[in-house]
Amino acid sequence: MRGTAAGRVARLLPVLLLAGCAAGRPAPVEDRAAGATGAGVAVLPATPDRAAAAVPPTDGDDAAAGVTILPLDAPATEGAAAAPVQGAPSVGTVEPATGGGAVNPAVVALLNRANQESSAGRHAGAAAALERAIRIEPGNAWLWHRLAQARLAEGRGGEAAALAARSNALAAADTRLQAENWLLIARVHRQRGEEVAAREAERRARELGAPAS
Amino acid sequence: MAARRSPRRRRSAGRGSRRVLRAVLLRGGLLALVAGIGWAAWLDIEVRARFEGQRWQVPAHIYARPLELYPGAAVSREAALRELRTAGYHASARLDRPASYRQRGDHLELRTRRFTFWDTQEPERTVRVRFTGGSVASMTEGGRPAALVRLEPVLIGRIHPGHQEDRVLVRLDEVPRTLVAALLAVEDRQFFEHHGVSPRGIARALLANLRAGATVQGGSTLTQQLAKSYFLSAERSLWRKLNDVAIALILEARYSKEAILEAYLNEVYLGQDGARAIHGFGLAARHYFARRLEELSLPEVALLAGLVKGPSLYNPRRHPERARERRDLVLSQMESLGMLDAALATEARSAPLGVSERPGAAGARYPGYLDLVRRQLARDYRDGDLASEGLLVFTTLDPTVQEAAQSALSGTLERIEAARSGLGGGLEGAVVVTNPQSGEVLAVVSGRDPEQSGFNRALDARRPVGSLIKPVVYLAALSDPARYTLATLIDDAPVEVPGPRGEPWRPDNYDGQAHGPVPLMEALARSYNLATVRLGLEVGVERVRDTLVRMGAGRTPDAYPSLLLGAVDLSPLEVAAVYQTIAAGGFRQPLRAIREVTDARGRPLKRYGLNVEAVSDPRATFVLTRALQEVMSTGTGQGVRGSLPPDLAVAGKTGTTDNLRDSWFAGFGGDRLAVVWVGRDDNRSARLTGASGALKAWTRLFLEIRPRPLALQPPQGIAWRATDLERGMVLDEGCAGAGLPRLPYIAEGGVRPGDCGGGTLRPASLPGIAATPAERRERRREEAR
Repeated sequence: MRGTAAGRVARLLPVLLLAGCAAGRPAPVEDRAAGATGAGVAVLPATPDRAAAAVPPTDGDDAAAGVTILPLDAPATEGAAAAPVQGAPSVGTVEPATGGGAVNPAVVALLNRANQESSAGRHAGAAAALERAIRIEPGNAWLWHRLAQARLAEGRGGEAAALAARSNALAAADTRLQAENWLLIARVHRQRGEEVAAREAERRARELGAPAS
Repeated sequence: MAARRSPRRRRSAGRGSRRVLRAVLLRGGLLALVAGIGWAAWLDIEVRARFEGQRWQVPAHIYARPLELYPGAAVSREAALRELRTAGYHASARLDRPASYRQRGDHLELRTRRFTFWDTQEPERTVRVRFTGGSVASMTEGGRPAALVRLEPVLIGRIHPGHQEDRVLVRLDEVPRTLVAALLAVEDRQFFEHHGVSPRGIARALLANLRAGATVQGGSTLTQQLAKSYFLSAERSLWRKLNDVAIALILEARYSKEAILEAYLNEVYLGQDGARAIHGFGLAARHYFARRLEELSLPEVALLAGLVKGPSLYNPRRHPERARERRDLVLSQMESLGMLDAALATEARSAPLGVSERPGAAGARYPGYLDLVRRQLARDYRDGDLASEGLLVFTTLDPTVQEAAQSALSGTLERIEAARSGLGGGLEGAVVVTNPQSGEVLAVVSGRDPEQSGFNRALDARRPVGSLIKPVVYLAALSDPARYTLATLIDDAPVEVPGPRGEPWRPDNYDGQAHGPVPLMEALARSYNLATVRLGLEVGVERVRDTLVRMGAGRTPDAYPSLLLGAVDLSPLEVAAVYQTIAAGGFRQPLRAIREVTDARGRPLKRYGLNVEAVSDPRATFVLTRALQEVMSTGTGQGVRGSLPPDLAVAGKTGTTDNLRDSWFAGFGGDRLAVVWVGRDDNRSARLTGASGALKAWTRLFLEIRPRPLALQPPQGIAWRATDLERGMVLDEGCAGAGLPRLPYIAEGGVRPGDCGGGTLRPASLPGIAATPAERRERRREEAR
């Protein structure tokens, strides 16, 4: 807090100007407090407008700008995935897919955000965005798989494997996604030196059509 | 120190001699000088410690989950409006400030407030939201479609230090310059010229007060006022004044005007909210206007500046007229000093006070939930840090669900007690609501009177769970698909188990009847005790116990046979953890009330992420859930079938304990799980079954919050088969089975694809497990050999 006299004067400059005003010299006007009452208040010189400062890209903006990165393995429709064998009644009514099979735009926006965070190496940020997406579409097996990837990238293998298993339980009709999940589980096992379990997971992935590794 | 000095002088003077007196006086003078220097040095240390150390204890602020709006979000317009108002949004036709909204036909237009979340900063945005039928139909921003907007969360509580101090710290560059100008105008015009005290200020104040015939200006500088509040005491002595002056001089010598001003803005006392003192302009803005300081208009700023002189005298809620006069005086002073032009000052003086209806934050409305938050925080933080570091805690509380749960419980209990006037009151209850997909706790109701803090029944009332345990027994059985399916016949016949001290245990059915061979699904749906005990004994009590523990019960009960009928004490929260695992398809999730914690500036500290652990076979869990749906359609929960909308698929289980002491219900839809307990604190009979008590409140809650219907996707390995339940027979794949219900089976278990054999039925459980009681007895004899 202490400083040289010059430094102190420099730091005080804006406030000294205020003192000048207070002493009775009306000055040009700027009011940050409220646009409506704007004109006519004589106070400090303007500080940089924080509202205009750079703002990180927002979820809404991504979608609004037409950026849509659809995951390759995104489920085509939830309804199809959920249809039980031979039209038998499932447990609970089958949830209709949002907007006739399209993924909810909010989920797309959050997936985009997660992808940005991941590629910038901010895996916790990616996980946060994916968790928001899962709150919107909890039955979307792809989102759980992406969250498993983010956790793996964070170095939390055990959690990643469990999340991949959760994704698998939701991905009944999507063998390709199931294979991806098994490959992820295999990687976790291998990281831990569990070679037998890793091979078994890889075998299950191959059965589901994954290329041999 | 003064007090210590004078007796010494008196003692010295008593010795008489002038020479001695002079010497003593000299020494006394020296002593006084030394003491004076010492005093100043001591004050200096104190001032520095106060100013440069941790200056303020700021309590942790606890937030609800942020409301996220997106096309398709299940948020009604009414719920959105309610939440906006709780968050301090103001209705405004012009949307001239952040945190305001206006209604236009079926649209709601919002101007949001920027907010720093754990992961990103949400900027200020203006969006139009259209609602239809209880959800968001579409959203636009500047004419273009908007995908998602996350609103600033509602503040639901604080964690205070021992004394109830609260602050919303502001930086000088966040403070409206109008506020600084107004303060200088009425409190200290020479602030930027004096060195801590202002003789000119005192003189002018005296003059002004004489002229006005009342105190209109104070003589203390801002620095002196700051000094006074640093070492707050009621004492009004000259010594005190001297002390303040000395501190003011030290402050001015050591620190910049800016730093002193910022400290003053955060320190000054501006009112009282019950036991909570309102210190600083940041908190005052929230308290009086439900706004951030930087959002205040000129007349609002003038009102706050005017409060400094007498926070209770000019309290705008209690004395609006006086507060108005004071505000107008502040504006006039600013005008006469040339800080405002006449038109603006006139306009500001004609503005209404604009004080918000009630203090800005929902304080003690959710004590039960905050209690859970505090306990989860206690795992990672020390009490002192929570009460002083100004941490921001983002919880998973859903205010809409919380309010609905509170009114569902109290409304149901009132109705029950009104319907049986002779039996007296005394019913209590508790509710826990979670999101089964994420493990997030959405609501905690600790008792009938939700605002009463104290005994938190949702967390601490551990009661026998009764039949709520049964799904665990059946899950343990269904996890062995070679032996048990939904169609397997279980003998509901009297059973006797030798007790630990020799006396036999003879359980009974609720209706006192034995129902003979019943399919497993029916035994669970109708909550038959005899069949369940027989099944549990076959499976093994220890396996049932281990299943319960794996599912997240949080404690390990003894594996006595009575466990099979729920002789284990669990809290509603622990029950929720167990049912959560069922609702999430066999994946256990730790129940979380906190998503993340940041420091006072929004920098991330800790995240509590979504995690799962596979604890039971997803296929067995899926099959079990089918049976739990049967509870609601033909079993003990069927009484409320007519009350729930037909398209709302739910699953659940009733629980009742001996002598109708405890009434339980645990049930879930697609994205909401709720556990309700109803009983009495004194453990006397509540005279309620699970269906006649807890289920009523549960239904009322679900009608209000409208969860998504249960829509489980069958995991891989589930086969659907037409089933003749009465005979415990399942049809081969491809057989017609006209009129028979189709039930899920674990494909590699008892159900084998085969040909129809002309539509013949086969026993549901294959291979080798007898389907009828007689065959089973025979099989047991074989095993014994």
